Amino acid sequence: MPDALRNALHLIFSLDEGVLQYAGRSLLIAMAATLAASLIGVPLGMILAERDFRGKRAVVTVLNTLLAMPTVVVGLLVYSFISRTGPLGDLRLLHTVPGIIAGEVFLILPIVTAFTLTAVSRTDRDVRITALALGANSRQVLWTVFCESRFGILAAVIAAFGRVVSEVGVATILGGNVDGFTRTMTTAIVLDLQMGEFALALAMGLVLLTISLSINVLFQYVQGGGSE
Amino acid sequence: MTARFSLRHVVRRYRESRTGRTIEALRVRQFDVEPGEIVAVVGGNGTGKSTLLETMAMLQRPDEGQLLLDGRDVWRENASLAARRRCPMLLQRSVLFRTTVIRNVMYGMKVRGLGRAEVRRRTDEVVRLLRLEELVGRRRQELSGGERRRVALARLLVLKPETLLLDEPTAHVDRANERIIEDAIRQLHCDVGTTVILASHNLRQATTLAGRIVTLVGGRLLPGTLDNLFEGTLGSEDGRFVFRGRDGLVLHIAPESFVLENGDTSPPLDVPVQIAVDTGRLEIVATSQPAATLLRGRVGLVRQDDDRCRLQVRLDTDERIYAEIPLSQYKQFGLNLGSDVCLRLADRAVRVLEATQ
Repeated sequence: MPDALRNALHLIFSLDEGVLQYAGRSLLIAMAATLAASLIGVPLGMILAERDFRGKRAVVTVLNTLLAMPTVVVGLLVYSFISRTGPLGDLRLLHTVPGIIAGEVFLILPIVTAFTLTAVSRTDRDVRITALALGANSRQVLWTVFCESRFGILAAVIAAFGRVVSEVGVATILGGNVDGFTRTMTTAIVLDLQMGEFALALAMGLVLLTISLSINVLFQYVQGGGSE
Repeated sequence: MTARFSLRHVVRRYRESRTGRTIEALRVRQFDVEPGEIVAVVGGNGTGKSTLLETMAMLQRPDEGQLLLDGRDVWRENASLAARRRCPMLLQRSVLFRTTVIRNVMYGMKVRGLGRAEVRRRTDEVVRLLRLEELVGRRRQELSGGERRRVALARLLVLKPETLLLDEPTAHVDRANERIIEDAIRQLHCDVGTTVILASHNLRQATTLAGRIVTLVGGRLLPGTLDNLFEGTLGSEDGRFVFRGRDGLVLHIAPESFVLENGDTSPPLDVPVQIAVDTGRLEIVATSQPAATLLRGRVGLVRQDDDRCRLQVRLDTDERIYAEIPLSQYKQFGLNLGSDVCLRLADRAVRVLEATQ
């Protein structure tokens, strides 16, 4: 074990090409998926929080259920769409980085949406009416509510990023773990362990742990900023 | 002259979420506010002051009736943004946004798209007026309740609005902050001629700031301050009306002393009612006059405001009744604390508010 740890640290500090490549790809996928999911999920969560409509409770219940959906199930669902025989098979997304990103977006979209909904709903109703009383139009009211909920929304985005970066099911099913193309840190750990490359798996694990720690620190910081 | 605000047969109802019952929060037959006027709306908690002001600020749509702004029906024109921006409101529950004081002050000007130089000039002006110099860089959590209220008011005054709606502007504010806020409202009224509608349960503030006071009781708007509210039953005896209060008060009321509305020819008899005796329509008469219609008692408290006097009279039946009389009359009758006094109900002094059953 000490040898494996020493080797793992050596791989990290010597900037091993494999470690850098897998870490870089994982971060790229996580960032792209988080960005896409945020662009859809944040407005969606805000609309759900702001608008009252028939069936809203049912929509929120479904959304909360999706939060706990296993990653492999999401992988399977997206696989059925982008596999060669699926309706989106012509796009040839299977075993590509964009394919993984698409799957990850589906995985974290409920997180971003549900957490945004909670953050915006928690924002005092008096913020809206104060903005209206000061002459804001509906777009400006929405922007004010967004600004007032920004810490909660940012926390939603960070939580989603953390989920993607440490995820293995979707990346394996949709990416296929192809070396040099779709292998990420998490899929590499699984494979290296199976192949007895314990030091490489451990190095990847340490990098992942560092990223998770950084996300958590950022999360705490953001949540601290939101409290008064 | 066209009234700045006119409410015509405005009704606002709420649906109580717990019971599903519909509650009528406001019913205003007619309420006009002239340009440049300061009107205070007084009344207890839950009488509909906030609902009235939020309706006038177009933050709530009335279920019935019309809200006219300079003679134009605002809801027929979908309460346009332009109309709403003419009537900014300080809510009782106004919140400061999660940013610095200075950015809060600038908010209303930014949403109106004012130029940077104008924003800065007006901000500097209002910061001085409300003595916020020390606070401009602070955030809301670093402010006291009184300071927050001053900032909330600064956000409105900086807009130099032609109409200002203020819901309890000095609620939970200490005397020092209260004075700063009241001075700033007066200053704006003097400088810009702003029409101000002010809801307050602070009668001192209402009488010192406003040129006219109206009272809300159970969502009904009535002229003057209504300190004389009594519950009881109205009956008829020997051609006169007799009100018997729950607490032993007996008032003999001549028919002409009633204010009758909605085409009523007579007040409701033999049902529990609430009546309001207008403080300004109680006259002092010589104590030697013998008449069952007079109210006899002793002067309990006296407060002088310019040329008027406000008396609290402790009646022989131990009830308290308030009267506002000219100072000259007070002097003419040689009144003082503890003096015997005799009051007469003038024409249109008694208003039957509602049958309470």
